[in-house]
Amino acid sequence: MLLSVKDVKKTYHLGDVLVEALRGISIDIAEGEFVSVCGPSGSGKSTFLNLIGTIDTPTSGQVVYNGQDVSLMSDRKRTAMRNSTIGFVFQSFNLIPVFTALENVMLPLTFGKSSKKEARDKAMEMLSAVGLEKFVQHKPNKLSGGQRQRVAIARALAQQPSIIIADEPTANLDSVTSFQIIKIMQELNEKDDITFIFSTHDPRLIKEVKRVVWLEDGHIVKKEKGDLS
Amino acid sequence: MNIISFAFRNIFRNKRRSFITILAISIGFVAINLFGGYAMNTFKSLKISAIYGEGIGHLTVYKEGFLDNGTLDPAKYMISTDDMKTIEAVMSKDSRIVKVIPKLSVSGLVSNGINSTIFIAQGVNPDDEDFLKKDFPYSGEGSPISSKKPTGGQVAEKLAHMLNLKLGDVATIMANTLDGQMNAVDLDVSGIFNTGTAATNDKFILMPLSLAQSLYNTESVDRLVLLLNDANNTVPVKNDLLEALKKADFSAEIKTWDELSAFYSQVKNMFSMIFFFIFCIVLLIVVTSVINTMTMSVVERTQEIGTLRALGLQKTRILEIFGAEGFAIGFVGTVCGIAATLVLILAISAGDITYYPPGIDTPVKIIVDFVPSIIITSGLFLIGLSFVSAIIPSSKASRLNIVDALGHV
Repeated sequence: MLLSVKDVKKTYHLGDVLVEALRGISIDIAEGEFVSVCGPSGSGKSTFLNLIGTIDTPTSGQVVYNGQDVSLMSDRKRTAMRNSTIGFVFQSFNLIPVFTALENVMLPLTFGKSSKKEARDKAMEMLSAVGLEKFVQHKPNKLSGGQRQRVAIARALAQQPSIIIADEPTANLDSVTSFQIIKIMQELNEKDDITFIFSTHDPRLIKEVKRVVWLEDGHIVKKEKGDLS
Repeated sequence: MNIISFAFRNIFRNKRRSFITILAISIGFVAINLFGGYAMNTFKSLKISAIYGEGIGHLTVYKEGFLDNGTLDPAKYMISTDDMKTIEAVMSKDSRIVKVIPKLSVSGLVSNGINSTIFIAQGVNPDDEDFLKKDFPYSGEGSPISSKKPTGGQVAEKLAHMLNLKLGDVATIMANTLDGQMNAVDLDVSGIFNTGTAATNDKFILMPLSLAQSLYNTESVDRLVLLLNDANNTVPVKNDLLEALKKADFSAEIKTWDELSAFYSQVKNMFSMIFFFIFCIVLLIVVTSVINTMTMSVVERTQEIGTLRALGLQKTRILEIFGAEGFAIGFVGTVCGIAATLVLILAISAGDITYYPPGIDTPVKIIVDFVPSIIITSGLFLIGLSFVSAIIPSSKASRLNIVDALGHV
């Protein structure tokens, strides 16, 4: 199993109030799955994605990647694991403004052991895969929202991660562009067997995924896809 | 990721802020360079002036005890002609010694026949004096002391004015001989000159050694001034000479030029203190400017830091990124500072600006030397300081919770 989440709870303080963001979530995700995490605002979607993305730690429970408990790793090892295993696509794209599209895609490669040439070749390949081969030297402020998100997807793909986590990747895009982004993700999932987990509110996008995880008040609620209103 | 390239791109993200920080570093750096260059030029000028202009030489040899007790019992501490032979035999073996100049200091009363006042004088062979001051051409009225005029002397400007002495006048100089008898000799005023310092310009006379010896009724001298082939040999020659003279059974005490030139030491100490003060102010400006800039940069780029960490950048690399930006700011600031220093040095040189330093009667031109050692040392120090100043706010950034950083607006 690629990812096992075992009875994960997450609480945090908001002023004097103790907020229980996740109240014991367990889920297994196999390689090649295309999973959407849905739920109303405050249901714990982002917290859940942060925990499986290893950028946050659970209050209790385990997040296990390929049999390794992430909470037992040092920060350095967890960071290296994140770099090689997990790709991120953010709602606001989070591209580095002083870098070109190509340099942005090269970034996670240069954090690892890739040489500059290897990183450049791989980044070119990934940008071609998302249809941006003509925009490699453009900086983010010269790209449209959809193009920026495609650069972000190319960046997430660059290290050939086992899993890509996307927190509302289409929230800042119009519906046509959103659909294009989902299609790109679907194609990569089907063609290269890359696991995708993303959160969304958009019912049209939810229809396109194989598996939906519904969250409410920090719990997984089993629902059918068509039940979302 | 090329951290240096990233750093240079980032410092131009907020051009105005980076410009002000770089400007602060440049101005501080220029201040250090200009004052350092001015101080070094002053030290150099004072050194040359002390060794050759004042005639202190590189080393001065006295009979042991002269400096402490010579005033009370001068006869006991004179260097006799026999002593001279011993000393010259020792010195002739050291090729670093270029010239040995015997001198005799005398003091007493000088009179124009109506009025009299105190004087201090130095007796030196005119040919030795010519050798010593070959790079300091005589600029006073009349002519300097000469072996052709054994009774001719140079009288300080204010002393001549006080006694209404003119060129060609004859003054009488009076003093006790070494035996304690009153003695008087005539001095022809062959030159009137400005000593350059107010402390001596109203009492100094330079005369031939033979005249000074005649006044004190002696064939001895009280000191030997040594000129060396290289000022860097001053201390080694002093040490070697002390040992060699001891072996030759002559107890000597030897002073270096900077030990004898109180003015040089005082000016150097004062300039060093001012330089230290300016350096501290510049450090404070650089540290506060860079910390302020980098703190604002960290706050503005918190989400970016979170992104980089999420993508797998180690904490230590965050420190490297901001440290490199501090380095880049420091580097650009010092490069601009070097260019500005060069321009200002040329402008000051072309401006021909003069001033009267305290205690100096002649105008001194402001000259600022381009001193690579000061520029390199202080430049590297400022760049290092910028680097360290950038590390302080970035260490906090590296410890940020990634989720909080990503959610930062």
